[in-house]
Amino acid sequence: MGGISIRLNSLFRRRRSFRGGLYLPVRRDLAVPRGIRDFPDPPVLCVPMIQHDGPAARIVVQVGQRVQAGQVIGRGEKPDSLDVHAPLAGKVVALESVDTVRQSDVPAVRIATAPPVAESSEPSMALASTAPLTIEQLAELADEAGLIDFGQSATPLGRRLRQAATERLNDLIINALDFEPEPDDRNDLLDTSLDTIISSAVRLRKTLKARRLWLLVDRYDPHRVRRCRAAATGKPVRVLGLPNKYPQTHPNLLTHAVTGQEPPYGSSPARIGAFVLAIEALLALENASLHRRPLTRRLVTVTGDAVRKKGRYLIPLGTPFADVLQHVGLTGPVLRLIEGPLLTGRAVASVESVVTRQTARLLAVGRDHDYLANPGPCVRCGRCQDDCPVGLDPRALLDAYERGQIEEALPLWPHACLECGLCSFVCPAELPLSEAAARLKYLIPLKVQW
Amino acid sequence: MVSRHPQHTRDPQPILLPEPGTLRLGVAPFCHGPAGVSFISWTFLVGASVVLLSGLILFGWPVIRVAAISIAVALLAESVFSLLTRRGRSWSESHALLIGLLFALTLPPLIDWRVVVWGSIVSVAVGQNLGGGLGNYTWHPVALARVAMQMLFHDQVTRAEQPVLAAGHLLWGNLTRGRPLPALQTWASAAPPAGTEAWIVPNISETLQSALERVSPSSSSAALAELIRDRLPPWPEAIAGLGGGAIGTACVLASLVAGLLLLWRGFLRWPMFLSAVLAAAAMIFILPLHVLSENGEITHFWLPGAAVWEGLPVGLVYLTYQLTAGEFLLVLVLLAPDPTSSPLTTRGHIRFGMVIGIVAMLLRIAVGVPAAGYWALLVANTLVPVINRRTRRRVFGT
Repeated sequence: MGGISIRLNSLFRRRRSFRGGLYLPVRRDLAVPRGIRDFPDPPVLCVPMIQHDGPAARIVVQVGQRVQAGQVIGRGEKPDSLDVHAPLAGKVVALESVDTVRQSDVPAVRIATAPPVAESSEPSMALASTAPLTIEQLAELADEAGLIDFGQSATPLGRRLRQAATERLNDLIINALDFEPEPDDRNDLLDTSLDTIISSAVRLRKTLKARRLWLLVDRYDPHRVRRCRAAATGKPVRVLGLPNKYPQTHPNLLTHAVTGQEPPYGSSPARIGAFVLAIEALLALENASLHRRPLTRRLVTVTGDAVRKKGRYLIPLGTPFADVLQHVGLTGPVLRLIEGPLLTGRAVASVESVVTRQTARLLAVGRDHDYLANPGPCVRCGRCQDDCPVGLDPRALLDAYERGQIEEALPLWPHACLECGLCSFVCPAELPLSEAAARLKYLIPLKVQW
Repeated sequence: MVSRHPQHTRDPQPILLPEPGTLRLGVAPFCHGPAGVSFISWTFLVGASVVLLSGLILFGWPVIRVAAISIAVALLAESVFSLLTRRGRSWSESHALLIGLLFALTLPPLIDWRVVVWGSIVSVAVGQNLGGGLGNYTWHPVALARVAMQMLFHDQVTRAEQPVLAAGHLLWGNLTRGRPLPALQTWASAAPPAGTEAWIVPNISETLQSALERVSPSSSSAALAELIRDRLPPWPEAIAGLGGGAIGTACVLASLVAGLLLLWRGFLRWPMFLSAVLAAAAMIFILPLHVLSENGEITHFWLPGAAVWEGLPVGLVYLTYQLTAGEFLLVLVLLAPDPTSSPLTTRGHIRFGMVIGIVAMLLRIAVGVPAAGYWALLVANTLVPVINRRTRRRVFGT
C-alpha cells in the first residue's frame, strides 16, 4: 500500500517546473554553426593562477624554463585552490600579473609557444591505477585536473564531489539544458557526444552510489528527447524532458523539478541528496578520470553581431581575447565584449584579458543600439516579483541596498537569489535589481540569516 | 584602434581591435525585455485612443474639445509641477498625457469646460504628484479626480438622459441638435426628423437603478421583463454605444478592443479581469432589486439573476445589461491595470479584481451610488498594501 501511495503521490505531485521565470525570446542572431571549429595555437599564452572561485595556485616554474603541454605550472596548495597546467608546450618568458574578467592583478605565467607545437599524447597526471575510483579519489583527480563545475559560480568540482560524499545521494542529475535559448551549446554537445555522456554518467553514478540517474533535456525538442531515450535504453538512465523556462538550469531549480523537493535556504542540492552536473563538466571529469588529462582548453562559443566567423572553438586557456577576435575576424568596431551569457555575463574591460576555465561564451557587440541601462523611477508593476524564480521581492532588496539598511534585507532572504538577472531583464524602469540582490548576498553572511 | 596581426592566424588582413578603455562596461543583464515605462504608457495611450475614437464616432466634435482641454491642462499641470519641484524632464510627461486622455474618457461629451479643467488639474496635481508621483501614488489619479468631480459637479457629470448622434449623422453630426428618442423605438429603427442630428437617450445604468417602481411586488419578474423590453435599448445597440453615456463608457466594444490590446501586451492580466467580472456577476445575480409598489411599499426582489418570466431567463439578460452598463468595463480595462496602483503579483491581481467587482455592484445596486466603478477602484487601491502583504510568495527553500 505504501508503495502505491508513494507512486500516486508522485503522479499527482506538481513538479517539472517552478513558479515565475520566463521563456526568453530566441536570439537567432546569436546562433552558431554546429560542431567545433579549428582554433590555431596562439603565439603567446598568459595563464592566470586563479580561474575559479578560490585562492590562487602557487607558481612552480621559472622564467626561461621549458614546459610541456599538460605540465603543472601552478600548484594548488591551499584548500579550494586548483592546479594550473601549461595548455601548450613552450618556454616561460615572464611571471607577471594579468587582469581576468573576474579579477584583476592575478599572478600569471607567460608562455611563448613554439610553433608548431604538438600536444603531448602522454597522460600528464600521475595516477597509475585503473581500478574503479572512490569519490575522494575522483575529487582529488578533479582538483589535480583543475576542473570546475562550469556553473555560474565556477566552484571547484572536487569540492562539490566531497560535499556530495557527505550526504546520502539519491539523485544524480546530468543537465543538458542550455542556459539561454541561443546559442544552444549543450544541445550541440549532446548531439556529438551522446553515447560518451551516457556511459560517463553511468560510471559516475556507480562511483557516487546514487540511487537514480537523470539526464535532463529540452522537452520542446521531441526529436532529441527520443534520441536520448533510445541511447539510454537498457541503461539505468532516466531521460526527462523539461520545459526550458529561464532560469531552469540553476541546480536548485533542476533538483526541484526532478525530485519535487526544494534545497533548504542557502544550501546546495547535496543537502537533499541530489548532485547536479552539467554535461561539459561530466565530459571534463571523464577526460580526467579515464585519460588522465587536465583541463587545458575550453570550448568557447564566440558569437555576436561583430563576429565574422561565429562558432564553437576549443581554445587553450590563457589565450588573449585579442587573439580570439583576430582569428574569428570582425565585421566592424566592437562596442562591448561580454564573457558569458547575456543575462549573467560580465563586460570585458580589455582585449588583453584571457580565456579561463570560466569562459564559456564570448560575445562581441558592435551595433549602435547596444543596450545601455537607463534607470528611471519604479512604477511598482510587480514584474520583478512575479517573474522571480524563487519568489523574492527584488525591489525591496534594492531599496534596502540603496538606503544602506543592510539589516532590513535580512527578512527578505537575499541568499535565495540565484543571480539569474531576470528581475533586471523584465524591469520596465531598468533598475539594477539583480546587481543589488547579488551585492547584498555578499554583504550579509549567510550565518547571520540563520 | 590598434592593429594586430599575430603570426598564428591565416587571415592575411589585419583587423581593428578596440583600444584599451574604449569598450563599454556595465553589469548584466546586457539585454532587456521589450517593455519600458514609456512603452507601457504608450500602449495604454493606444488603448485609450481606440476608446476615444469610438466616442468621437458616437458623439462628434465635442469629444475632441473635452479631450483636448483635458490633455492640455494635464500636461500644463505636470510642467508647472516639474518647474516647482525642479524635476527634470521624465517619463511622467507621457503619463500626464495618458491621465489627461483617460480623464476625458470618463466625462460626458457636452460637459462644461470648467469641470474638465478642474478635474484634469486634480488628477495630475493631486492624484499623481501630491499622491507621491509616478510609481508612488496609492489611488488611481483619474478615478480620484472623477469621484471628486462627481461630488462637486454631480449634475454635470451624471445625467439621466444623454444625447448620442443619430443614424446618418455619426462622427459629423451636431450633438446639440437632439430630441428625445420616441418611446418604444430603438436607435436603429427611429428615423430622425429634419433638423435633428442626435437622439436623447436614457442613461442605461440610471435606468437600471430606478426601474422597478410602481409595480406590484408579486410581479417582479414581469416588471424586470418589461423594463428590459420597453425601457432599455436592445443589447447589441447598448454595447455598441448607442445607449449613450460618457465618452469612454458608451461603447463597450471599444473597451473590449482596448482590453485585448493590453492583454496581448501583458499589461492587463486576465485573471484580474476574469475575477472582477465573475465577482460582479455573482453580486448582480444575488443582490436584491428595490421594488416600489403602487401603494408606496418598498420590497426587495432577491436573486434577480435567477428571474424567469414566461420561460425566458430575464434575470440573465438583466445581468448582462448590468455588467456592460456604465463605467465598469472602462475601469477594468484601462484604469485597474495601472501598474502603480495595482497589486504586485498575479494572485494579488485576482483579489484586486474581486474587490472591484464586489464593491462596484454593491455600491451600484444596493446603495445606489453613481459612478460606483470609480469608487470601487479607489477602495481596491486602498487595499493594495494589504493584498500585497497577503499574497507575498514564499521564498524558494524557506
